[in-house]
Amino acid sequence: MRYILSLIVENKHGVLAKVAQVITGRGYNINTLTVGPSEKSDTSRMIITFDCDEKTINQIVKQLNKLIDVIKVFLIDDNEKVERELVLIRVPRKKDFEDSLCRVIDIFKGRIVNVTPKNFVIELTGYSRKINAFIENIKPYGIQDLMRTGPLALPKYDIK
Amino acid sequence: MSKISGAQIIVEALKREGIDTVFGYPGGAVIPLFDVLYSTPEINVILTRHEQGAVHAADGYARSTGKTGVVIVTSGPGATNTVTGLATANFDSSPIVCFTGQVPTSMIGIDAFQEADTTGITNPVTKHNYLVHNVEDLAITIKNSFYIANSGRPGPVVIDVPKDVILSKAEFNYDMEINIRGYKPHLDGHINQLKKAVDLIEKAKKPIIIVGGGAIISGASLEIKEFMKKCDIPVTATLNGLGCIEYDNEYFLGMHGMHGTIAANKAIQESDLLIALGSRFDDRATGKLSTFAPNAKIIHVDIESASISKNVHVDVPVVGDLKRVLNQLLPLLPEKKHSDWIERIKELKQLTHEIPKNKDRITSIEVFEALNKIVPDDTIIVTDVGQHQMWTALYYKFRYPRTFITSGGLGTMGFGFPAAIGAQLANKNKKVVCISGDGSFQMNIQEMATAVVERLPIIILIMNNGYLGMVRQWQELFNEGRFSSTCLMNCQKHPTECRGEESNCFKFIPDFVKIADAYGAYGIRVKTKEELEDALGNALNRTDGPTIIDIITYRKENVWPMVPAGASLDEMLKGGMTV
Repeated sequence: MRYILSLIVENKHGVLAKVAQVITGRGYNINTLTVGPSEKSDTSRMIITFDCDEKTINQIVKQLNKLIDVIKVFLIDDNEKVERELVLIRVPRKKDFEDSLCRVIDIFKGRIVNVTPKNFVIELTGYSRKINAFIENIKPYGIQDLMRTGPLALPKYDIK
Repeated sequence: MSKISGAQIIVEALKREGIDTVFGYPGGAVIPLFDVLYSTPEINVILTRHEQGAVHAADGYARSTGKTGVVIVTSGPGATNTVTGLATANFDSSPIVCFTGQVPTSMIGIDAFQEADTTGITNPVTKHNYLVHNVEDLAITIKNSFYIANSGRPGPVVIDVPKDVILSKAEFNYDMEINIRGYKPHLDGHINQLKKAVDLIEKAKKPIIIVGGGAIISGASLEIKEFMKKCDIPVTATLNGLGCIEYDNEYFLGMHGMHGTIAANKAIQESDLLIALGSRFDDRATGKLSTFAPNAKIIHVDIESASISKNVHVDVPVVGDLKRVLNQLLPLLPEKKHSDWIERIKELKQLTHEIPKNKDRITSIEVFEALNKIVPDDTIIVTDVGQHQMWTALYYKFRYPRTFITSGGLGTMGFGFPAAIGAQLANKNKKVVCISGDGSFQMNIQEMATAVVERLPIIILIMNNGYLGMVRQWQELFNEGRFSSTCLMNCQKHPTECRGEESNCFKFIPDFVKIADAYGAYGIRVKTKEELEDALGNALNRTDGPTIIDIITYRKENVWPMVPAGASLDEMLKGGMTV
């Protein structure tokens, strides 16, 4: 099962290394990892997703809680969250298929953000499952390069 | 307020923390720090002969007292040499603050001479670490480090200090409040959890208490004894929990686990309630997890929530400091009697394993009969790792907490002797005996110089069988007797061709009596139990330096009982046959 873990950490030297160390050192696999500033200048927020069972995720939470630089760890409830991921995809322009490609992009509410005579760069945001579906539909047009951010997530309510 | 250098700040902070002894080894990056220590008579600087020895010594100092051990080493190799010591302390929850020198801030990352990524390397083997960028942050970092090292589940903290930070100046202030947002240890148990625990204890017919290293660290020995008497519950200890209950207490079953007593292992398997107090269900203690205590519910009290339900499923977890939790729990508990169960325990205690005696050479039990007879009750016993360590756990008569110091979790050969140095320095009025093997002792043999220079009357018992005995035992049992690389006396022959002792074997490699002599210590070789008793008696009277007693032991003795790795606790070998 996919779990989304939200971490509030000290914005300090070496914190990312410590978090990564605890996870990899105990043999757990990170699915995605996103780090960025939070609402306070001296803390950062990390969103880490895992594909694992319940026992493993509980152990990961406890191990991360042990870290002195980790201020707060919580699992984000699948039903009580807002989740967004961004993907950039470059595809070649082929005259015969351009119309249908643009239709697909429209249906998913994506945007073409760069155009050259030879290719398009497409941008799409949404939750991860939507992005998965979008990529499936773009594949037939030949994906040259693709980059996903991994999801960002916030709970809908204040977690006490 | 006038400004002082980073080096002076460190020393002032150490004084404020009440530190009287530091262990270390100088080098380019920390010369200014040692220079300040040179004119600080309040702090005794112990120069070890290897940085690993310094950390183990600080560890022994910490474990024998509960105070925080302090280490100062230089950058690069000085720091990397501490890794085994830090990992050992981290595993067994020993409080250490380790200062490592670092190249100047401007040179970090350029592959400078004696540069190492110390925080990167020590991340997985420490409780926490810091790289100090500004001298202004130094004092608060030290204060936080001492707090982190010796609170919650204790552990080592590394403070990496670049040379420019050591040299530059700042005002010294040590009166700030400690407030670490990500670190607030829970000390009191949650009342609902305690009620659930009481409920299970009330219902249990065959309960058993497991005491671990946490019981010693928390100083909960008295509370545990009150608990076991009030509720009539037998007790077994993990390796690091030995000493919590005196060996001859009627409730005490000895150690459980791979080389635990038959009584303890059987009692765990038969129990219907396990009450684990400050132990973490290590695989050497539980054996095969799927068949571990199959009928038992489990209550687990630990200060670290990550230790709970990590290996075994726990029915009632209680996070908190053991002493405080027991003081909360005791008034809630009813007095109980489990007469049938206690009768069964008495029966189990009659079961024994094979104990070789009267062989051509001294056997393990004979060593410990002599030791138990001769040394004072409050002697601090420090061991290395291997067969001698397990025999100590099985046969030495422990009476008090903090009288047994051993590397349990990491199993670090070479730990014992430097740890004994630290323990002796912290306990000048007590006897310290280091029990080692001819393999382990050679892993930090250089610390003989430290013990001699400091005039420490440590007694070193080398149980010398010419083998890496524990590995040899596994090879005998599980590798068809192919003794690959375990005979220390002759490694030239193919193991399958070796017929034991032969004429071209080395007789003594090395000759430990000559080693003692070379270091200016006392050395004696003993071949009988009587000689051993005499040698121990003489060694006890010495006050001016260490004594090595080289005991030529029965070469092929195995440690019984034994639960083979991956077997369940009741599948014990007690001398070749299954119990």
